[in-house]
Amino acid sequence: MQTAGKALVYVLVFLISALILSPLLFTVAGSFAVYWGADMYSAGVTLSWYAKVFEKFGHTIGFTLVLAFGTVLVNTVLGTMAGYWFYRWKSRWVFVLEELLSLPIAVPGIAIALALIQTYPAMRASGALMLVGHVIITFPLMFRTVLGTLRTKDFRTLDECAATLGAGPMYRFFHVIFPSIRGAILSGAVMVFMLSLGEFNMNFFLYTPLTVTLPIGLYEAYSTLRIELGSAYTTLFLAMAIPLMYLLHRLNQSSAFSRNGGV
Amino acid sequence: MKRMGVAVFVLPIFLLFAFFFLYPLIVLVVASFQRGGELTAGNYAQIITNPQYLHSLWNSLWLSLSVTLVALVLSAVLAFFLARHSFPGKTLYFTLLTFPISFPGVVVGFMIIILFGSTGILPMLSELLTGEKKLVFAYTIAGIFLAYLYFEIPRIVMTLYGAIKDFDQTLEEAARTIGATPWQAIRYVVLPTLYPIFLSAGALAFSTSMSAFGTAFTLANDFDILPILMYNEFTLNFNIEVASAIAVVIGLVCVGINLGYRVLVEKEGRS
Repeated sequence: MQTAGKALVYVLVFLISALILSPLLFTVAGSFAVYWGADMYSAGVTLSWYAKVFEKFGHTIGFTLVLAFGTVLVNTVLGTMAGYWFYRWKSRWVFVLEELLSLPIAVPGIAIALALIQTYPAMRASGALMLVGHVIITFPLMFRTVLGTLRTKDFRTLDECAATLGAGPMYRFFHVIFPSIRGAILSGAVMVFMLSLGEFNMNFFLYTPLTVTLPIGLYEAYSTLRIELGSAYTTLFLAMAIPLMYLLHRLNQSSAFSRNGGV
Repeated sequence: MKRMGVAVFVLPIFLLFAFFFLYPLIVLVVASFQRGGELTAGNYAQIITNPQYLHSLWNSLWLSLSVTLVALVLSAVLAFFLARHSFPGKTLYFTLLTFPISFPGVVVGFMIIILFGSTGILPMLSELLTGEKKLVFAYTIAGIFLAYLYFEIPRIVMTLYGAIKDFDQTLEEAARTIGATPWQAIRYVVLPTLYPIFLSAGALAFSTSMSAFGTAFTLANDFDILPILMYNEFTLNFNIEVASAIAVVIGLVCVGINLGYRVLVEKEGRS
């Protein structure tokens, strides 16, 4: 009975691992094959699928990186400032406003996207609406990480100590608080970048032919082009996401990250 | 002056949220109650009365619920296994298993196409072995179900793993010394202590499934679930008012689930 139970656990663990890991393996393997089939490399190995991806979708990678870096930049500034203010502020409204600023985690991205596009249709063409949307949905990640770190440590004493010595709020922020929360800002920045990089649902409502992001390009490749090309394109996405995910694990933030983002 | 100096820190984000989050959501809700310039609840009534819409609502609810339950069981097995065994390369294995939490839905859909699509690995294997192409179900409800499991399992494992690892194992051992089987120790000692974390993981999984769009859209862009229905109403039928009503329903379910489990956990914590 006990051996049977153990065997069942092993079988389940094997099946789950196979479900999750084997398609990743075949995606990478298939991206180098001339022809995708049961005899994978019979027709040879090639890098031409990658060349085709860069030729057809190179601009999507560039645009996505610009968008993600822009989102990180805006949220680093806004999230840090807001975190600092919330940490210092004492009022019963703090709780309510904190919940409000965390709300984009709970509201589905497709609902926010539909709301944005009917409110500001004129901002769609330039891509500005997409940037604003990304800023809104990734903001809680930076804000909560910074605020959480500030609350776990006794920065108040340091802060007040500097204040009694005559330092103003700006000076204290940049010379006392900022150096102590650099790690939290880095964690927040990596999470914001990851979420922006992989966002599909919101982009699918807001994109135009001039603002195609990597996940949108992936969708086009999957639905109209060969599976080898789709694999190469996906492998490029994985190559960007794997180092960042590894970094998140090292920073102990992958659990916080897993509670965000739609699929 | 001092207060002003500090308010500068937080004014930009409040303005951004007011203009690009709260106001658009109000616009969305107002639009959902309109039809041809008139105030009406008809868009919501349509979700119940139109058979295709009702079918989508029903599909979304039971798909999310069944995926959540199956994913919870499988993730619990995996999380217990990972927390209680150590083997070389475990960190790498864990990192790879939880890596899909960074995938957009389209990539999750593609993973299922790789496995069960018309030129997928398993159909090709079955053709090689039996001479007949079988197991092509990526574009059906079974494929969508597996795809949802694909993005839920890593997310749930991530939540459960830390809690199971931190659980005081001496309690479990105490149960074992007085004669409990490993299963009984888990069933009567570990699970009752950890159930809030299961509740939280389940609530998150349900709302993630409810609002998932890209995954199912990649596999079958006409499949009847609320997010796809909403997208098609918006782009194919230019019916922004009905689309808004569907978005509000999805949003309310997700925010409601989120608030609901937190109230439940807090209530449990007090008593």
